[in-house]
Amino acid sequence: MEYDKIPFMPENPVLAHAYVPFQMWSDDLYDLKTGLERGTIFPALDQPMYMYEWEVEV
Amino acid sequence: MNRNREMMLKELMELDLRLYDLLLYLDTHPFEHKAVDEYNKSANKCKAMTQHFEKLYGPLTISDKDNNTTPWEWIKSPWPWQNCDELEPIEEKEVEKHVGV
Repeated sequence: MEYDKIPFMPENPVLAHAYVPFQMWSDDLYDLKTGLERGTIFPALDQPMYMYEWEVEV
Repeated sequence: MNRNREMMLKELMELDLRLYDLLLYLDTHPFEHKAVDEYNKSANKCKAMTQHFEKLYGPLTISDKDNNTTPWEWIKSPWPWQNCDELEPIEEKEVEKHVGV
């Protein structure tokens, strides 16, 4: 496996297979304090579960 | 008063999380030199701060220590149930201002 040549998404995706995008480096790391508070130093991975909650109209 | 001890412990926790997150990233991206640079920078900072902390307040982890002394230094650190506010630094000097990231 050539680790330095992994694309963001597969170049030749196959039908019925699921894929996860490959994380790319970005310089915008959280500072120390924010990192511990958010549980990750990568803003792109800062995805708390409530982001996916359905907005239910009552 | 030991606000400083608490602050340093918190900063060490922050550094540990940063190191661990970079370690996980490097598991899948071993060629990412910027991540390696960040890792080294944070690791050096963590090491320096750990040494500084241990000089003032005693060992953080006993298993990492190699030159143990008598009396056993571990016993000088507070027990989990002790009120850390009453503790004084081992060395009675003014704590140097340490620099965060």
